[in-house]
Amino acid sequence: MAEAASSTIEKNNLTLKSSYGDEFVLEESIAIQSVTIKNMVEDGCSSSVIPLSKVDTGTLIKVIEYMKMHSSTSSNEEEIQNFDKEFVRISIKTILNILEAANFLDIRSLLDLCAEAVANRIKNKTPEVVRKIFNITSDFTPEEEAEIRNETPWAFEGDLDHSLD
Amino acid sequence: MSDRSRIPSLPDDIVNSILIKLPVTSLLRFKCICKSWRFSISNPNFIKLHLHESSANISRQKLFFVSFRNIFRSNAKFQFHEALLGVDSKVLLVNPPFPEFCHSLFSDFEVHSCNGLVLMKTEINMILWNPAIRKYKLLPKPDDKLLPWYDDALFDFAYYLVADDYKVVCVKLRKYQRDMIAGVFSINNHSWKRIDNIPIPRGFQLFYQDLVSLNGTINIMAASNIGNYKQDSEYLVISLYLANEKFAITPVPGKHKYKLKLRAFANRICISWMVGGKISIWALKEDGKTGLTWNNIMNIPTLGSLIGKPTWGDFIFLKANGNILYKMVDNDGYYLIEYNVRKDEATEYCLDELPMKGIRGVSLLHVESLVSSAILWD
Repeated sequence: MAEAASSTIEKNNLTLKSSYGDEFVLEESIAIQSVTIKNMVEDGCSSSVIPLSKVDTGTLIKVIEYMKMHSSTSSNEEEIQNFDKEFVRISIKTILNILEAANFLDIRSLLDLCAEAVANRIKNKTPEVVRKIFNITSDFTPEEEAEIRNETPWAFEGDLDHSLD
Repeated sequence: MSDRSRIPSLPDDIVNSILIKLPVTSLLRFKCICKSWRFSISNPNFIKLHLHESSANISRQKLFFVSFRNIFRSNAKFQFHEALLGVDSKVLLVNPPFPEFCHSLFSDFEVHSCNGLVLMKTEINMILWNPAIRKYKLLPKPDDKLLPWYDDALFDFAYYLVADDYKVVCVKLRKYQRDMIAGVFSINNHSWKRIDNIPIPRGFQLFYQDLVSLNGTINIMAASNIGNYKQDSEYLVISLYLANEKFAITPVPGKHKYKLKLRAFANRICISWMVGGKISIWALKEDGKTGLTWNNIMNIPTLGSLIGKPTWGDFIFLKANGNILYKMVDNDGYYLIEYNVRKDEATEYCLDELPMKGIRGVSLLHVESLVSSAILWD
């Protein structure tokens, strides 16, 4: 799906450039699902390459895959639902990368899909594991943390998930 | 982990977009992750957005069952069960946090759900309860002089967004005066007040029914020709706006042989009747000029036609994908039937762990939330 930018770009094509410098040509009608890109096009940036300095190549490939599927007129609702389900069967960290890109590119439905997927994956996890996934160091003292745990002890009971992914 | 290492922390808005999709128990657990997460989760604005998001998502709605056990014995008590309307709808027993005496069974009992809270009214008290955070508050009965008819009033409660206040409303129908009086209890002010002389148009009467609460309004119906089965009835809806305590009266189109039922459905005030073998659903809509008008929003099959035999049940929820959820109760248990509008297909799932057999009880749709606003819990 990734094509090198050629000299025969049609009028309605855009070139997206990842933070690694890789370029992807995409139909404008597909790319403008991103409100950020749509605004750029409307501001007259469409002739040039659109640099996405916050989106790495792997993430951009996934985002383009998503935008292509969601602008396709040949796929029905069920196919799109199945595509979405498969799309987020990847590591949580990869979903978080796509989530950041979706946020930057302002693609509401992709942001919702990724946020929902992350929420589903972490909802039964322990706080320790969630901290690792999100690279968070607790800034509570042990006493403060114990106090928060004591407010709602049942939230920490039961069969919690200790896996990192 | 083979993934590239990430920037130290995600921006708050991305974290919030994830937090908003989490169940309440997870949010309570994740409060201890770090100060910034705790701050986000405790933020009143976040709590409102979270509730709003949950209300729109069927898989985060719960069916809340209240049943009565040992009904004729001295140890009669309430039991509470809930089932998440997700893919694997497991029925869980809910242990209510309130004191033992509140469990006792009394003849007069009502339960309502609104914006993340449950209101229970028994003969002796009113309990406001947030099952998700396991907190409750006993609400005081009104002064006998203010609302002497309190014990046989119709009840419901509503959420009034602007003041961020929950209000309990009780309505008393006065047949001979042709009007009704309402009592309103504000949770924030912790006090009752009375609204007098809400007029009922000539020729119409109120009848016993459930009040319907939605978006800061409490709605009730009145009908003509009540008790006269030879003549069809005309109906109208009286809406009380909690914001300004004003009323709007909206006539229901047509004349009806069978008693109509008002309900909240698809986040609107709805009414339905049969047209050509289908349920025709009409919703109240704000109309800039004339106040409120009725719009036919959809026509759906009856539950009986979906499962191929006459049955007791009702449509209860419109899913985001347009499918309709029905509930059905028979001797064997409690079922949910999902009607796929596009494919014209019905699928059912049974909540078989629910001890419905031979048990008297009520069920309601409930959204779990972190809501506590200004409520001082007991």
